[in-house]
Amino acid sequence: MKLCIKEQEHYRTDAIFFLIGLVLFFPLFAFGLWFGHTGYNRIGQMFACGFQRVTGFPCPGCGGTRAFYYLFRGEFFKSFLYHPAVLYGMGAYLEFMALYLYRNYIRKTNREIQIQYYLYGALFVIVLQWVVKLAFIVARLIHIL
Amino acid sequence: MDAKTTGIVAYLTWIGFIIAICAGDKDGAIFHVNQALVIMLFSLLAVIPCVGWIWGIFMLVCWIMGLVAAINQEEKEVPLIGKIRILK
Repeated sequence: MKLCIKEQEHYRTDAIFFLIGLVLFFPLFAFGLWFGHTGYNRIGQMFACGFQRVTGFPCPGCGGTRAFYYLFRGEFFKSFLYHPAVLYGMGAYLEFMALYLYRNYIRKTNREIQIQYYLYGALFVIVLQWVVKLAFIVARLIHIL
Repeated sequence: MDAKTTGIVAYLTWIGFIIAICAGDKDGAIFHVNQALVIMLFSLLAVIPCVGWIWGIFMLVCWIMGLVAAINQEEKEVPLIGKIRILK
């Protein structure tokens, strides 16, 4: 299997991200499994959010640690409820790797994958889930729910 | 240094940025010098706990995209913050 980063004096962005993804694959999953089984109980308190402690409202990243924890415990729905962006990130990562392999080794096209759409999607998911969380908290504060 | 080298060196942390400003062909690679400055300024936000770390991942991806564009000698803007022009 040949991985071609450079073609005709032109370096491919998606090939470089694919290499980084390959290198990160094992450490990421090893860390996730460790975190899901012993790490969360040991160092989970380190990730507590200062913003939430001070103001009482969650920041856009709140729930991420618990979502990561539940993702590697296999409880995907709970993970989605805590923070959808973690599930999105994992899905985008796997989708990117699969799409790169498909395009380069099965279809054999030279079309590059546009990384920026993954970023815009992630921002959209983060902002959306934050707005929904804030809406739930405000609704609870004024006793609608 | 020629314009290509200046553009690449500008992305390599603050030290590289200062080298690119002082010793490089700043006018030739003004696009990448400016973009490197914008990326590194926004990366400072990543020290905020929790939400800053997500932002840090975002900036890391932007940084790699900018660096690859500099190596290819393309003037390609990174998403979201690429429109900002500090150095003219």
